[in-house]
Amino acid sequence: MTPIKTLDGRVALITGATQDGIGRATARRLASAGVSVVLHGSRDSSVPGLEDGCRIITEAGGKAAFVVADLASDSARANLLERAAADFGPISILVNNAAAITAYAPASKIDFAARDAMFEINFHAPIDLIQQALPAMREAGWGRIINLSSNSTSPPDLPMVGLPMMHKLALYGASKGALDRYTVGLAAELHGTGISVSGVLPHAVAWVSNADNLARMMLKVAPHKVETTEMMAEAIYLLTETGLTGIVSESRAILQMLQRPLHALDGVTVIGDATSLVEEPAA
Amino acid sequence: MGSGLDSRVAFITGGRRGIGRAIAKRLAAQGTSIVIGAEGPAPEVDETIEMFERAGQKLAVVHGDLSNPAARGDTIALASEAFGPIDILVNNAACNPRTNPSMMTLKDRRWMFEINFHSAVDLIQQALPSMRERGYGRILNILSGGMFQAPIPYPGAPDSSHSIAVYGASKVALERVGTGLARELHGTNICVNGLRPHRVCVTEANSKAAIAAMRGNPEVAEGLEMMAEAGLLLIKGSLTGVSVSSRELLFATQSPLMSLDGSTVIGDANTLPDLG
Repeated sequence: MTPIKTLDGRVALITGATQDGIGRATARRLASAGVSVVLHGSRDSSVPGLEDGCRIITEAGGKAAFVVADLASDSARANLLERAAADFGPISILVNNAAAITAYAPASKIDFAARDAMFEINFHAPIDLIQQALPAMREAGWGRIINLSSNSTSPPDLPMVGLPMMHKLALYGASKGALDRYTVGLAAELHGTGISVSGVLPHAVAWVSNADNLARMMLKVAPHKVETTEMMAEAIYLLTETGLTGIVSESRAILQMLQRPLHALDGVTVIGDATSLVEEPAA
Repeated sequence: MGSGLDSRVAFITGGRRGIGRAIAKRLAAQGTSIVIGAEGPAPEVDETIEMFERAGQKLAVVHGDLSNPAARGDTIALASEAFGPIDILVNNAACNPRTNPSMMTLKDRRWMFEINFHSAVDLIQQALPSMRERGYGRILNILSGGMFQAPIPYPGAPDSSHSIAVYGASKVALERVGTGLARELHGTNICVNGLRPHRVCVTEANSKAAIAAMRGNPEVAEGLEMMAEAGLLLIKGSLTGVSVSSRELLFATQSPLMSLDGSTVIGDANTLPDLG
């Protein structure tokens, strides 16, 4: 069965799509729906990963290209949208997925250099890319902007037991909280233009191929807090397809709200729904 | 005085007028020694100095540009010269270039985050070692209703709602650092809270047009006393990790609203300001 090309002819730029993570999964899911995708990586060393991603997508019958730009540098990112439009035309779907935790350090200690870099990559860069993308989206009267958020925008739940790690994410959460506020503010400003702006976050952590110790530990003690990259990709696809705007929501909640199934990245095979848990792959 | 604040030293950024000065006056009425931050000399600074002199209250002024990371590097050290180490830090200084989110330039965004966010975190980090050493500290971050997207339909011109979004984003970031810091500092007797006007605080900086607009819709407005009283409640108490509006806090604690000199009860959580 071939997937329904609900988004045929659209062009997406997905930042931070170097590895087998949320970015690449989103690119694959959108490509399955007919979107030509441009994968972005920040470094020259990203190229092999970007090439892998493009190969996987083209082998599945999709269209993919990649672009490299250091999002930490305002000059390097200044013409990113123009460069990303070279292969398939102007970007109509922008997924701001790239983010950095420049230092794991508590709020009382994290130094200015780390804070400054965190806000450049996680806040100013997405906004710069949005502002670059808006003229073409306005002209077309259609656009989708999806900003990735994080549950670290809230302080850790009480009681705080055995997770001093959470203290070290306050600044990351602050940068994502600022981006969330921008997301809903921009959505309000763009009301009626055909351009939708929304945010999506994992319930706690997304299980990616290079899942860290935190994800492995959480899968054992709190499996409901772990989700597949397919869940995030499906949620981003659904926001893109439906054009829901001005919401910042967990991926599972988007599937639940729309009562839609969870697909594999081929966009055809149903593998679950909003409540599906991750099965730990064999080591 | 009874509040225990008469031996304390407070540093309040953006203290030459508005909410900063109102909190300064409310604390000074408790006997607290006050240091205010101001970018440079200005008539309002002189006016504030005179105001404190007339009341026989202790005031010192630290000048400096909070938008410059190097220039603000010794701010707390300078502020500690007048009356000793800072016990109470009120991060009140803020700026807002007021541009819609689709158009605000990187330059303006960076400038705003320097003043509204990074400088506040820098001052906190500068003040913490001494607070830890002495086992007492109060950190109050002044937030804004702009943290929340206005509900539809907008009460006024849509642009007045849109153009506060990026300012709101800087305050969301500051709030998140405050809640995280409060968690991190649990058990140290250093309390970190966020306070915002319930809707709009009427300050000396409001234009005549803004005041006239509020007269038609007075329930959106509050006087400086409301923020000053709520600020005092958070500093005097031992709540931490709270992010609250001024009226909510007076309501939750069933506190009277006092004049800035602390001498007179002028209302409560529901009191509307005098808009002339």
